[in-house]
Amino acid sequence: MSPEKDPIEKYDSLEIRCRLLGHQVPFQYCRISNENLPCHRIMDCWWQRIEIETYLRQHFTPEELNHSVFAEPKPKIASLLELIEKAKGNDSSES
Amino acid sequence: MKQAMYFLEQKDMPTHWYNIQADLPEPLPPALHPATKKPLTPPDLTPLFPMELIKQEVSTERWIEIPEEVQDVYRTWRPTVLHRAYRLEKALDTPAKIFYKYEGTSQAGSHKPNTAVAQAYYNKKEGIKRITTETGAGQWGSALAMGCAFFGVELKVYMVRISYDQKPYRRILMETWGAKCVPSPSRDTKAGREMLEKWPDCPGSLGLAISEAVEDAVTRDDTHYSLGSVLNHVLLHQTIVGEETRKQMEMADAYPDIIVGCIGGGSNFAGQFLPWIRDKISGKKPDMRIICVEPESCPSVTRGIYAYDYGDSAATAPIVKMYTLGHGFIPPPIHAGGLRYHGMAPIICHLHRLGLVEAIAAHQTAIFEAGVKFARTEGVITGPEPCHDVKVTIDEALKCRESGQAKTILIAHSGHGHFDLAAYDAYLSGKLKDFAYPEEEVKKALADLPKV
Repeated sequence: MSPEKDPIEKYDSLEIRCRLLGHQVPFQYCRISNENLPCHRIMDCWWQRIEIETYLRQHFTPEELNHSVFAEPKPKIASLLELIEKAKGNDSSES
Repeated sequence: MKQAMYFLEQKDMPTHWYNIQADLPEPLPPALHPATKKPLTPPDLTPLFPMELIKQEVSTERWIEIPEEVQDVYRTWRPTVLHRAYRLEKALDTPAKIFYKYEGTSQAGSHKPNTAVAQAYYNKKEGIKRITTETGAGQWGSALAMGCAFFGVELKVYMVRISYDQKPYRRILMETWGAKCVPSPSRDTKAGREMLEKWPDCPGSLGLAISEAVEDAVTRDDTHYSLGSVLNHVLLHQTIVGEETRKQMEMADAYPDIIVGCIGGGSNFAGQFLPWIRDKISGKKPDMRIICVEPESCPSVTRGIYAYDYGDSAATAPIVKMYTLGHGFIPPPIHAGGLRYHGMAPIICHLHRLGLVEAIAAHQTAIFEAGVKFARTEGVITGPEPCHDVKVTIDEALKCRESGQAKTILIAHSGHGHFDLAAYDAYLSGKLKDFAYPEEEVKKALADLPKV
């Protein structure tokens, strides 16, 4: 029998100061802020406080975690260059 | 009479920013273009930044003149005061001499306008009519709104939706200074529209807000983008803080044995310590300690290592030296490479690797305890980030009490916490809890990192 799965909302009421935003956020934000997947910093911020790795494995597939939590964060300049290239293909005037 | 404040005359305000790149014992490793693996060239960045800022980003000139127009605006709040924290010293019963350079007296309440004003000026000078940026709680957005107001440049701020909803006061500041502030995701960009179509209730993220601000800038000829931390030119503009402090410490007939500052993107701390570290590099003050402080809960410098990334699986990741945290405790099937970046300024990472800067982590309840002590002795409601500085300063001052040494400690105090009272409330009501970072887990994680 597989172990009982915690509800995904289990930690939603906990709060932490988000270093990126500069204010308090609930855990719920941390688990959805990356395009409805966990923030890439969720383990750094929460792993001392809750069983975050277990939680993530219970609720997200390896592919989802690779795309979010374990994706390599990029240095600022390089990520800006990538955004420039991406934006050149966009047109903000479209409605 | 004990002198508790050191005022610098406006005519004595520094006229040049100090560029540490001229004095580094080893040059900063160049940022490489992710596609070519070659060092970045100025044209790579011209869609976003004016040429003067791009030149500053890579300059190795020691002194860069502050334009008269920027000095004129600086003089609306600068020089800021250097304080001697006699009342804190007395409360700690320490022989240490504690000074703090307080940037909370700028109109925006922090150090951020030092670069916001300069960036608005250089864009205006290059004919740019409009700037975009992103913001979370709004400290950077409000500083840039003020800078743009001084130079008649339009500003559009993409404010992360959750912050827009939760932190209305900084938004009102931005709008009062004339900026247009929209919640991100917005319907104003393709990136925002795509997100809203997929997820109408999206609370936003800083990454998405940056995407929107960059897209807005790249797709309009009259618009540039502006960033408030991490980059070399941002740190450069902040050095006016340390240059002023050098003159004020001379007035006080003092020289810091220890400089303490918090690090997020690193610009506040760098602005204070870079003008001093040249004395350490030259051998004039080899024993001066420069301490950066970060949260224990999200350590990056204190628990990380310094290494070259070997790229992600798609080979698109940049190759640049930054401090990283290992995550070797993630088993291989979902382990994505083992190295992480945390948005720390490359200059600070580099100086730490060279042994010129040390790093300390502090627990969140301890930093608010220190912030409350500072408020009750010096009267200043300190922002949560500079509360880290206060905590380590108190620790060092207490060590002086034990040893009997009268060390001089200088705090790089980045600003007030008037918009962060919810965090104080959480502390005062006992809602904050501390967590320890298990050393064994760190060792295991770092053991898995690639050798470079």
